[in-house]
Amino acid sequence: MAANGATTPETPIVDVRNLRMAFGPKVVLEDINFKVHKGEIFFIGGNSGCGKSTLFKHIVGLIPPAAGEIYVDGMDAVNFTPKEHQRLLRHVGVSYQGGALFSSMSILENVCMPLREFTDLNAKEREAVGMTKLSLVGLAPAASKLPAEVSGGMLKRAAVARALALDPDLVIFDEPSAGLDPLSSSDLDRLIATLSRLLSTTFIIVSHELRSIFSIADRLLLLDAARKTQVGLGPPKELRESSPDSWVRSFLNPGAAA
Amino acid sequence: MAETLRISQGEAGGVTIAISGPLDLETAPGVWDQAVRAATTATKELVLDLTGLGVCDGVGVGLLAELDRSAPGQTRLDGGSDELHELLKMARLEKGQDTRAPSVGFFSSVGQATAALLATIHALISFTGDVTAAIIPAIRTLNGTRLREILRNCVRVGADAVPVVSFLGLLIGYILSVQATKALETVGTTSLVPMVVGFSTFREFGALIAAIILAGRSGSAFAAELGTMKVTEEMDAYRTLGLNPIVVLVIPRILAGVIVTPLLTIYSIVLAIVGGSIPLLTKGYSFGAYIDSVFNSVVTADFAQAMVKGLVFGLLVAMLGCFHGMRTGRGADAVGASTTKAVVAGIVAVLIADSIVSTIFYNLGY
Repeated sequence: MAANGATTPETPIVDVRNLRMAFGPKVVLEDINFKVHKGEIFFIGGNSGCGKSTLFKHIVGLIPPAAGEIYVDGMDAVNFTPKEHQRLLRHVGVSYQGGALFSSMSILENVCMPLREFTDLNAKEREAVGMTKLSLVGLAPAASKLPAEVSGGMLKRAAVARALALDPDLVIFDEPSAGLDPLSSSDLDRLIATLSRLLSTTFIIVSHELRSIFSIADRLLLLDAARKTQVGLGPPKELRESSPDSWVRSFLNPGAAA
Repeated sequence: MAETLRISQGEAGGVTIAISGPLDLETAPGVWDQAVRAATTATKELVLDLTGLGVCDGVGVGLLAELDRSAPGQTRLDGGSDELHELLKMARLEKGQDTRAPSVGFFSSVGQATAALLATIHALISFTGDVTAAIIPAIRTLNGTRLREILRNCVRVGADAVPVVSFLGLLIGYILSVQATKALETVGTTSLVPMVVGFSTFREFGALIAAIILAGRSGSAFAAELGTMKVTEEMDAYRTLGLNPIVVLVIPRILAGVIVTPLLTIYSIVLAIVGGSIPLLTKGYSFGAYIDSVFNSVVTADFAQAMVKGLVFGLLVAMLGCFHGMRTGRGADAVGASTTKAVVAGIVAVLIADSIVSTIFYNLGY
């Protein structure tokens, strides 16, 4: 159940069916099935090399899977025309591991860029909306700075603001905690939880950061590189306490395993 | 348009803006200016009446936040969901807070550009000092690995450039010869064409061709390599391993430039002379007579000038490539900027050095 109670299980925003991921003859993952409901904070976790970052690229249609079906907000994310892909991407905001802000633009220009490309708002209106998004992530004072002039935590927050620029239904985060100190990472978790609650935005977060998973995740999809498939799906605490799979329990409770 | 935008002016600077219906990407731009104008007159209190507000997306929240920012007095919200109140609280800026970069006037721009130029000159002098100081440690720590690094750079700077130097040398020689033939035909002295080709290739074009190819290929490559290493913190890794990047990375590249450019100069002179023979061979000149004429027209000092220029140009281009690579900033465009600067600075420095060396040789009587 989503934190804001907006979950409507009958209309998943992401629906993945029988997905098979492969690089040439090498199968990375197969038999992947899950649904993400609107308003959920959904984590995709797993050990290194399990293909979780590739899975998010499949969801946004950047890499086609070897087999299977993916629907994002009812739109086919596997077989699409370029125009359909554009329409799909308008519903999705993506925040990459390093922020991936455009280094020649200020933080505000980065946030305003999608508004400039995809709306008819004039410069003044774009700036006001951009500043509002930056204020939401607490970055208004850094609006005029270049990405190279701000810290890693600020970069991640700026990337959130850019991902939210067009009010997407779904925001995907790739390793948001990577390179952040625990305090900045906690701040980012709180920000994601707040935005999810206030904006009813769905967040898919690719991460193996257990602290984040247990503090904000509604549900977790756990992948295992050795078995090349999903080994757990559900609320993280439930998985840790009562998963029938011992690997899942020890992955989510490494202290006990030691 | 929002279904209704109702503005009522109260007494003593109080303004109420009542919004009903949706306020989103479709409707907000239509009421934006009118609403902001009204908000700026709310010197005492702005009341945003949201009791009839429908769907409010990010643009709608942006407009409401802008109204709050624009009102000189207090802002009060009537109606609206708790989530919207919380969002507006988060989106609130200090009244009148301007977070845009301050605009820079003409004189400030000139001042900043001058300061940046002086900083670059200062850094270049400092870099030259660092390189000079690192020569002795570099020689003292010369081992198989460093020698291989120098040789690897020599191959990249020199051997890999041979095809393009051949092509350019032949073409420049050919063009020189054609133009000289045309000019000298008018005074009936086409027999002087070999002298013009020999004189100009030895004293000028041989070294210039080598230097320009070096700047375009190797100067840029040095800047890009070292710049990327700086961005990916490989440079810091060398330092934390107790190794000086100037000794390990810069000196081998500069040495490669200094060793190889004179050799490339000789090679391009040979190719330019061969290229210069083509128009004359079509006019019945024999190749042997042409070569005799070329070498009769040049003296040892011309060869010395070519070698001095090759040496100086190689040093300058390699040093400036490394300098700009080591000064690379952060971000994806920083490496591109360093590469461009390395090529431009290399070519400009080569032409300045060319004029100085030419003047010195002229004043020495050569």
